[in-house]
Amino acid sequence: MCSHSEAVVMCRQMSKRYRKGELVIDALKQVELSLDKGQLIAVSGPSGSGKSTLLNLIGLLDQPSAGTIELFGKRCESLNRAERQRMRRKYLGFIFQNFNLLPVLNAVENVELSLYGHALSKEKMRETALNMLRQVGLLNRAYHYPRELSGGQQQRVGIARALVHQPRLVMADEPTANLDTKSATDIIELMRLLSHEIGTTFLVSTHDPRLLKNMDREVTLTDGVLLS
Amino acid sequence: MIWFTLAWRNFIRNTRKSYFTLLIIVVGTVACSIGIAYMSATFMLVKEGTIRGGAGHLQIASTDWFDGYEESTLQHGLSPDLVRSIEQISTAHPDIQLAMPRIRFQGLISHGDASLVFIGDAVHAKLERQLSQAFVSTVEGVGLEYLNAEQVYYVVIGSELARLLGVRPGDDITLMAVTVHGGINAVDATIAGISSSGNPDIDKMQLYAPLELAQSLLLTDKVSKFVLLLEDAQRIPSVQAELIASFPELTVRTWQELSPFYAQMVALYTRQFIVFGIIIGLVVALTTGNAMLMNLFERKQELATMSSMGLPERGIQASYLFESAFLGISAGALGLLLSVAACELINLASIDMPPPPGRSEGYTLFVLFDAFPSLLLWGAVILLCVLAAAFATNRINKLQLVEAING
Repeated sequence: MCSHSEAVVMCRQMSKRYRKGELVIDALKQVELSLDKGQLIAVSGPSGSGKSTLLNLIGLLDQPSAGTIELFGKRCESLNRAERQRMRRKYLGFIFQNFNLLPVLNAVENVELSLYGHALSKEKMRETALNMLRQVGLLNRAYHYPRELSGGQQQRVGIARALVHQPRLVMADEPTANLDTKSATDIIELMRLLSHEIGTTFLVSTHDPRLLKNMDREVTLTDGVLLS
Repeated sequence: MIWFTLAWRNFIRNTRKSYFTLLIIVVGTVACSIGIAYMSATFMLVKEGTIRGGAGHLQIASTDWFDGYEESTLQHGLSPDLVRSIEQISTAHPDIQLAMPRIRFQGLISHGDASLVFIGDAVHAKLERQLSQAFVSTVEGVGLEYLNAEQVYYVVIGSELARLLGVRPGDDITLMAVTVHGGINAVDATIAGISSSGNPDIDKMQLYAPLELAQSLLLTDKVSKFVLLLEDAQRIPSVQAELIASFPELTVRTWQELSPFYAQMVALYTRQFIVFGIIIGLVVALTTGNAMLMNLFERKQELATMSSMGLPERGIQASYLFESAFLGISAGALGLLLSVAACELINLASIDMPPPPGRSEGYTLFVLFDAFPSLLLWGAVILLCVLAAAFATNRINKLQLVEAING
């Protein structure tokens, strides 16, 4: 089941086909992709090109219709729901376009969520989460609820949440789409800094040119086909 | 702990819909609680009415008196020796408050040209009065308990019997009956009062007389039975056992054994309430289940986010169950508080109820808020809410993460 690839992600002939009644949509077509450790990789392409589908498959939120997907040397395309959940908890982080913070939890509690199931004491979890908030520059907002934070601040909390458990791979779906220029620039800088500090691989779906120019690598999708 | 925190915060982040769900559960709880309070009051009133209305806590007589029939007057009555023994033991026993001898007899009552059948209860009126303040509710004249020791030849008769005979208090009548020796005897007596039991069929034949009058009429010193009132109803089993040991030739029966209608009434009311409770329970369960499904739908992005982070679905489900339990706890508590207030109001309002079937007198509605069944009801409400949420949260593991994550 396991191979010993150096790549963080290895997709071979990976396809995703959706059916909506009679309609068949090939969202991804035989994608061959390998991602290395510690890189900031952009997935670009027009709307509907399959960027989110690629992230969902690599993020184990969905399963490919054909082909294989290997994360950190482990074949993942046929893992069951619980196994995929365990993989996500242990190795993956997610940053969402709409931030997706839980409104009933404050910033530090939102960050702590990623630490559940990591065998840490309550005190250690709080300390780790506060440290992460310090790293994203939001320590002074640790006990504020999402509704009390600006969009940029919410996304910083989202980044802290995605990174606090030191995942090997972070998936970010249009992380700057809902942010103003200043906040977007800050977020890009932050992701770049953290990826180099922690050694985490970032796979970022975007067509934001501000983001693209700061990436280590860019792959482009058109109509479900990987061009580069 | 996080699941508990999430549940509590989501619970207090109430929306109008949540208040509406809460309200439905509160109304259901109040309805059930008042139903229980009405049942409790009815059981209590019937129980006390049965005990205080003449049955006492225990009765002691010969087995044949209870189960057989008498071919001659007082054939199965208690002999004077037994009467003395029972009186001695009862007087000495700390748990026995009253021991009342009684004679059941029948005969003819005459006034002028009219003669009618009566069924008589010969009693020690002053003792009977201690058993029940409502002993022989007289509508005219005075009760036997107000007569002095010399006024032996006085009777109280039922209102229908008085009407049919055309007598009033102070009128003289003649009582005629078969004696213990098989002959006929008659005594003259005066009407002291006229009673009403609320049941016309009883009032058409009922006669109360002092014990001495009945013994004089029947030419005997025997009595039919003894009725015992205890200090504490909890002591019924032990006193019954002691009396059985003391009088092996006699039978000692409890008020429940002598009043099978009480058990029947409890069974009937309980079944009716179970049906009513099931209906209310279904409403509560469906409402809660629906509210939880709506919550799931509204919060599917939050659920998908937690699931994408790899948080265990069991934990997410647990938070919904906790949230539903909070709903049940608060709605149940509020419902019970309102029920206490509603019961007080009902009792204060003195609502007149029509006469029950077979009775001629109405009564004032009375409800009794009982803590134990109310706590059980509270527990049932919480359980129902949790079960409904468990049913709803089954959908969590069917959640399509990719669709839900973007809201």
